Amino acid sequence: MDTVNAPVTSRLSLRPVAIVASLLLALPAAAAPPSSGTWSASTWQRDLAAAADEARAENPAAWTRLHKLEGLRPEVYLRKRRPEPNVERELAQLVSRGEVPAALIAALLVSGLDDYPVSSRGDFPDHVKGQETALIARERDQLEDGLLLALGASGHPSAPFVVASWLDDAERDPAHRRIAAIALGKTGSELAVSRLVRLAQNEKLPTQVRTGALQGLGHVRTPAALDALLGSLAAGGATPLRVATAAAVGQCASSWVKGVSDPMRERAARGLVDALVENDDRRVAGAVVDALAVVQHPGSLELLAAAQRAHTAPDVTARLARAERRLTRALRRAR
Amino acid sequence: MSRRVPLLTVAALLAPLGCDAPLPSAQLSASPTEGRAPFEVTLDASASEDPRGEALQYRFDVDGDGVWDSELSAESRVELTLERGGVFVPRVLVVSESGQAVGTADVSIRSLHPLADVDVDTNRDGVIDEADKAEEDLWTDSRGAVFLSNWDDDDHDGYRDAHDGLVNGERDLADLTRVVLRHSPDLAEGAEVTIEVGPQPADARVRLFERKQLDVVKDLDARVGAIDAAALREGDVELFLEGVGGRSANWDGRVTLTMRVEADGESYEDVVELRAAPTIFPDNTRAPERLYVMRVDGQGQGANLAFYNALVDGLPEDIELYTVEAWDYYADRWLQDSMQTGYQRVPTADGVKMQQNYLMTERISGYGLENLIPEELLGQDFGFAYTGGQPSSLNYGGNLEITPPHAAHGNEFRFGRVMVGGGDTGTVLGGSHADHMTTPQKQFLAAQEVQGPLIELSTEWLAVGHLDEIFLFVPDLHREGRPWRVVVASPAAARAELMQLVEQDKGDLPVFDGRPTETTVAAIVENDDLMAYNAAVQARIDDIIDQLMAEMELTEEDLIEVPVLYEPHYSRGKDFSAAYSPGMQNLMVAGDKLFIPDPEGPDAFGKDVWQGLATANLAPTGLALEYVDVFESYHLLLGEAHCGSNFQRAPFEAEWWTP
Repeated sequence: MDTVNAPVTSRLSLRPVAIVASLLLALPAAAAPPSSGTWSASTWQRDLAAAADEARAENPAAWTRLHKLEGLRPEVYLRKRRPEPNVERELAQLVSRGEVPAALIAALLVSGLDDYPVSSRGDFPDHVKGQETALIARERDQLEDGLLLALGASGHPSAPFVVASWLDDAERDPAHRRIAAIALGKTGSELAVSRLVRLAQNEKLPTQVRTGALQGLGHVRTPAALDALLGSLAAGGATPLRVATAAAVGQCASSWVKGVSDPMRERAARGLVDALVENDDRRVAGAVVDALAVVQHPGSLELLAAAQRAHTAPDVTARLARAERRLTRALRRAR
Repeated sequence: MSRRVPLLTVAALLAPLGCDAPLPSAQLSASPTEGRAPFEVTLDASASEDPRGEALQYRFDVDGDGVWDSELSAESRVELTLERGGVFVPRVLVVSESGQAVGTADVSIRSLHPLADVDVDTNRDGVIDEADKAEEDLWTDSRGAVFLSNWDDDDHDGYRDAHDGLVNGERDLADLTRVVLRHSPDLAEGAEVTIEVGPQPADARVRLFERKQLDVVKDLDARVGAIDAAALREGDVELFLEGVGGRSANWDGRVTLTMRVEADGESYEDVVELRAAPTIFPDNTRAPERLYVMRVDGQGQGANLAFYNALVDGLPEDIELYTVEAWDYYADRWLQDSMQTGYQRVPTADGVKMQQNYLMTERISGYGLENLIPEELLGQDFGFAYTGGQPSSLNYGGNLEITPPHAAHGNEFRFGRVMVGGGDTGTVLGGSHADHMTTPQKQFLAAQEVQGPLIELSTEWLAVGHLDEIFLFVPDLHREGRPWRVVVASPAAARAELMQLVEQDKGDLPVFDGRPTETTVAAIVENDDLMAYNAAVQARIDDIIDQLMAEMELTEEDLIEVPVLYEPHYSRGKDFSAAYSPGMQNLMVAGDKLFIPDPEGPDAFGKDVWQGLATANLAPTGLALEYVDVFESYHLLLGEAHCGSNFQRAPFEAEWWTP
């Protein structure tokens, strides 16, 4: 049972890039401010240092606010129905409202989180006596994940680089690398697609990280990302990977996202119907049916009907019929 | 076993009386003429005659008590059982087309009292008499004595009464079940009389007390108890059976009592079987009697006064408001999670004995409310069951719901069915994850039987993992046949309202106005990740509801959608789903009134569009609706109104012991 109090034992430590970045942050801002466009792999650290300096100068309270997150306070999170720390939504709000510039989140990640002031033993009420160590460890875990996701979603030009460095660190806990992969996908960058595809295909990586990469691709929502996902779905592989791929196809080509083109959705629907014919695994088939409902392309029903005409095996027709029922309901609701 | 047939049912079979034709003659012999009850007596009426030679039919009364013990048939010779001691003169009814005649046996039969005769309330009418003897050794759904689990605290010592080997006062005595060992005047000197409890593990689940001093005859560490033979020679010996355990994973609640007499080198036995009453959990359509809710008045605890005061002002008067004080329980406000309200009922001479019997769920330690039942609620006719085991969020009351009574697939579910959440489908973004209610609690629920078979629906993808994060049952005052509906969270409905506002150029309208998570209509619909995520949640909810519909033979007409958006809640690298907007399906059913979490949606034309949609969709039910502020006191803490409350409800009209 994955109890909320079981600690993740990874400990964050300074990495070479972080040491360099922290030195840069300490220097007076000498370089020109970064452009609003893409940063480069060779200059992003310098650009980030400058951006962070500028952010702190403009908003001195922001750095302090970033170090006093409500979601890490035991008196807040212990009241929750799932009593664990969580800062993701809080950070997203802080960024979207301009209260905390994304550059500072990136700078914090680069500088390392070892010195971040999470709770101390004395901050906990008596009724959780004995659980303090585990809860403090969870605070660190959730802080790291929340920062990565917030940075990934922020659109800041440093995000792909900072998040990728987390992802590439083989010594990090796979759970955190998985979040980093998702965060990389949220950046929507070209770097993200190629990097995530390589990760998803790397059989030496833990399954958690590979599924995170697939989930990350689902956030990119470009034809390249979709092609990569459909290719992965057709290639097969372990059940968890196929399930994650199917779900990611749905996320990539969802009818509820305005920017997704009709050709993309149709292509996704075709790939999913093919996958439904090919996959008899219960979980994979279920994920594919769900994804078809998420993509919700009007032509899906015809694709399913054509597939039913082409295949007579009872298990295949049963899966197709189930998808047809679900999709009919979803399309009727959409009207 | 003798059969008892009321005399009146025979009347219609008789030929008209008072006709002039000569009547048949009834002749009856019986053998043996002496024996020790119970024993078989052969009754022979073959010497009976009809003067016209017409065919005869016969009916017999073995103990001459006026109650026919057999049906009218052509059999002139039968074997019937004498169950009790005494002197009896059997009778026969002889019937032909000419008429009828009743004859008595030419000899009387002396039946010695059985040496071993134990009786319980087999026919469940609250009294122990001759009518209880038939089929007393096998408990069935329609016949067999029943007993309560003695889990209340009648003497207010802070412990459930079953914990000690004592009868804790007259009220506690009323919770025990009578067992009568019949007077055995022929018991020889030196006879040994015992009462044995079986099979395992029943012997460790019940105690027997004797009537006079209420001393323990059989405690939990023994199977056999000794009975005073001298007392049995003098008259009936009355015992009281205490249910220490209840139906559970390890015991189906059945107990056999074997009374054994060893005398003169012979052994005599009589056996009865009893069964523990089930714990039954009322569904949302049962009348509410009491509402539990915590009052949190702030000072760093997260005040809920807006919610609490709304209940104080708006709760129907016939419902008792039970306030749980925050300071006593670390402001742990999740009343729904700490327990599932239920009851046990058994028939008595005065009608029915009822005991509240809540299920205390195994919670992650340190919350606070784990002490509510044992330290505050436990009392007279108020007990609890506790299965223990590993703590898990999926054990909590919000993940344990009861369907209303209904019929489906040719089966009648008079008490509804227990539903729990759990599964291995994984998260909506395709992450592997499995979680279930823990086995001891699930098995406990299944062991009660009357609300089975248990239904499990996927909830492992949710942040808290509870059914009430997806749907709940509510009454429908205007429907017959199925006077209830299922209120289901619908991201599609929520999104549709927002998209309409965008089309009307109202994207700037605030959502969650004034709250820490305030945003706008446009910000929501333009958040691609959030929208795609909700599409996936909608697909998952549709799959779950499809399963529910198949299980209960529901149609779309049985569903009511309410607008709710979800968001990912990452934990240990996995995406779980949590309510992004207040989950309106997570409501409180207070009889004819619903308290619904205020969605605090965009206000267009002076009306919250989400509230408006929910109101319109719920209107056909005829229920009164009140929207309550739970935003910061519950919603931001991953719960809503249902999570923060708990109702004790009236029992079902049907009684579980009458099929």
